[in-house]
Amino acid sequence: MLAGYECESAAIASNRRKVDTDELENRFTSDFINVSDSSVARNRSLDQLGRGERGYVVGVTAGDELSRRLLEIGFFPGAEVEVLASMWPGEDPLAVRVAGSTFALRRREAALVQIV
Amino acid sequence: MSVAARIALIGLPNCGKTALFNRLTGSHQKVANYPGVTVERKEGQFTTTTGQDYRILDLPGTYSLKPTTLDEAVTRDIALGRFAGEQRPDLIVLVADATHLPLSLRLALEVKRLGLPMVLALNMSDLAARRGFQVDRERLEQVLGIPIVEAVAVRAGGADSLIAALQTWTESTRSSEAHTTVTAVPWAEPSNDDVRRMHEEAARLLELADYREPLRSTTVANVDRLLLHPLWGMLSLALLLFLVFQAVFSWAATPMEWIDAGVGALADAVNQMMPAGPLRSLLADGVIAGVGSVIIFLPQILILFTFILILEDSGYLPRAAYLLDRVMGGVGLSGRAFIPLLSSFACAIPGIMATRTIPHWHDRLATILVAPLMTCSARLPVYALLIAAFIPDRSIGPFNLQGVVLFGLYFAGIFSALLVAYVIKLLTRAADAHLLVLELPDYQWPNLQSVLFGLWERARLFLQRAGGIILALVIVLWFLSTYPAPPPDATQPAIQYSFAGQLGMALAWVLGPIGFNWQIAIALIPGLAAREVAVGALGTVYALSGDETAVSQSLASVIASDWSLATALALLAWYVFAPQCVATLAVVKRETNSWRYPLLMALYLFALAYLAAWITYRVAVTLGAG
Repeated sequence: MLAGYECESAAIASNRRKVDTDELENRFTSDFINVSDSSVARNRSLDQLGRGERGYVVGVTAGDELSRRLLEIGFFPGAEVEVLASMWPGEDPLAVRVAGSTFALRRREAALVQIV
Repeated sequence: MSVAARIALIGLPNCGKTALFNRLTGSHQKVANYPGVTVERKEGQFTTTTGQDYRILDLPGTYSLKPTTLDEAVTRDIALGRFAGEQRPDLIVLVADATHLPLSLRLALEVKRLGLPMVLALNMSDLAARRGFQVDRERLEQVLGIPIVEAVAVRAGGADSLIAALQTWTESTRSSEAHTTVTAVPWAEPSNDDVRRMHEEAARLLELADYREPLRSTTVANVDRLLLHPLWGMLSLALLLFLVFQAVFSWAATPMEWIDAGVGALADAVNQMMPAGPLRSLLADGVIAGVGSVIIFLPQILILFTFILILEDSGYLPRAAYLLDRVMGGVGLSGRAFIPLLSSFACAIPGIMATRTIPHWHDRLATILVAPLMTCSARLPVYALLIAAFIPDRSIGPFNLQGVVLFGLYFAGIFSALLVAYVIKLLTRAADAHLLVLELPDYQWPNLQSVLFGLWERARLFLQRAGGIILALVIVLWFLSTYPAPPPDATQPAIQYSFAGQLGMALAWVLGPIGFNWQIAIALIPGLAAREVAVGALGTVYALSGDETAVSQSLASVIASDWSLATALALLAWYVFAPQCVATLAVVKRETNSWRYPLLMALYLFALAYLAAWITYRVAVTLGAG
C-alpha cells in the first residue's frame, strides 16, 4: 500500500526492544528502592500520559466491566503503551498504541490502566 | 457423497476473516439473521476438487469468548453449542492476522479450551511481511499444538493451504470415526487472571517461534498525525463529507439525464403504440412515470455508497468515530454511534441494526431513536427533485449552489439528531457511563472486488424495492387516482374526482397551514410506506392530472411552475424529519422488542416534521416567497 516504512533494520529494532526491557527492569527496581525520589517515574494511570509519551502497563484496576475488555485487547502487565493523539477539548478521547494495535479510549477508560 | 462438515471462522475484528470467508466461498453465500437476534448470520459453502462439501459460518469478530456485545455473545454461544437452532461446528478455523499475532494467539488459547478440532489460519498481508514480520510457522505449530496454515485472503488461491488442511482433517476423522456431534462442553469463563496468563503464554510461545513484531508503518503514523489531529483531523472530516455530497450531485448529473431520457422515450413509445385506454394509462402514467421517477436516483445512491464502502474498507470510519466522540458524548451518544449513524445516511434499517455493536443499552436506544434523522438515500430522490426544481444551478465560489443546499439539508438532519439526543439525555438523566474502546485499524487500500460486490448488493436492493414495493404502491395509487372516473360534465382535472383526489382534499385542512397542496397530500400517504415513493406518487398524480403539455415535461419542471418556493421549502423541511417509513418502524420494534419505542419515534418525528414545515412555510411566505 502506501509507500515508506520505518527502515530500521530488524537487528536495530530487536536491540531497541532489549534496551526497553532493561529500562523497564531498572524502573521497577529504582521505583522500589527510591519511593520518595520524585525524579523517578512512579505509578500513574494511562490518562496522565501526554501525547507522544510512552509507558509500560503495570496492571488494570479490577472490578470494572471495562477492565476485563482492556486486559483482553492487550493492556496486560509489561505491554508497552504510547499515546498517539488526543482530541480537544480536554484531551479526550485518546488514541493509544498497545500490543501492535491502536485503540481509541475515553479518559475514564484510560484511567483504569496503571503504568510506569 | 458425505455430509458437509461444519466449519466456523473465529477471529478478532479486522483480522481479514470476512475476506478469507469470501475467498473460500466466492458467491455461494447466504446472509440472513440469526433467529431471535438481529445479528447477521453469514454462511457459505464450497466443495473441494475431491468432492468434499464444507459449510462455513463466518462468526462475528471478537476479542474473547466473554461477550460485551450481542455479536460477541452469538460467537460464544455457537462455539459452545448453546445457540438454539444452530449446530455446533465440527471444526473451528481461528483466523489470526499477522499484524495482531499476540492478541490472536491469546484468543486461540482461549478457544482451544473448548476442545473442538481447530486450525489456525495465519492471514498474511504483504504489509506485515514488508514491515519485518517474522515467525517460524512450524515451530509455532509444534509448541501450540494446533495445525497452522498461511493464508493470503486478498489473493486468488490464497486459501489453498487452508483447504488442504481442512481436507486432511476430514480424511483423518472419516477414517477413524464418523464425527460425532458434541452438543455442549463443560466450560467455565476464564477469570481475569486466566486472561493474563494466556497473554503471557502467548508471548512465551511467540518467543519460542522467533516471532518478530512488524513495525508500525511510518506512513500510517504520519497520516494519523494529520487525520487524528484535533483541528486538522476535524477539518479533513468536514471537507471529506462535503466532497461526498458535492460528488453525489455533480457526478450523477449525466447518468441521471440518460435515465430520464430513457424513461421519457419509453413512455412516448407506449403512448404511441397502444390505443388510449385504462391499460395505456396504467403503463405510461402509473408504472413508467412512477417507477421511472424513482429509478432515476440510482446513480446518486451508488455514488454515495461508493464513498461509504471505500471509507469502510480503508479503515477511516473508526477514526471518524474517534474524532466525533467528544461531540457525541456531549449529547449523550457514544463515538461508536458514528458508524450506525453513517450507515443511516444510506438507510436507517442497516443503521439501526448496526447499533448492536454499542454495548450500553441507553447509548444504543438513543442512537436508534435518532438514526432516522440521518438523511437516508430514500430521501435523496425527494431532495433531488425539489432542489432541481427550485434551486438555481449556479456557482457560489468553487461550489455548486444545489450541492450547498443538499449539504445544508444533511447538516440540518445531523444537527437535529444531536439536539434530539441531547433532549433524550436530559429526559432520561442517563448516567454518563459510555464505552468507547474502539480499534483504529491500519489503513488499507480498499479492495476493488469488495467495493463492487457491496455496490452490486445496494443496486440490487434498490431495484428490487423499485420493482417490488414501489411498483405495487404506484399501481395502487394509479388505481386510486383514476377511479372513480369523473362525471361527464367535469370541469376540473379527472384526478380530483378520484378516491385519491378526495382523500387529498380532505387532508388539505391539516396540511394547508404548512403550504402543502392536495397533490402533495396524496403523495405523502404512500410516502409513509417508503419515502422515495412520494416522488413516484407525485409523478403519477401529475401525469394523471396534467394536460398534454404537462405529460411531456419532466416532473421537476411541472412542480417548478405549479408550486410556490415556500411550499417547496416547507416540503424539504418536512422531509428532514420525514415521518417514518414503515420498514424502519418495524425494525425498531424488532430491535427494542417493544411497541413503545417505534410509537415514540413516529410521534416525535411527525411532530417535528409538522413544526419544521410550518415554521419554514410561514417564514418563507413572510419573506415574500409565497
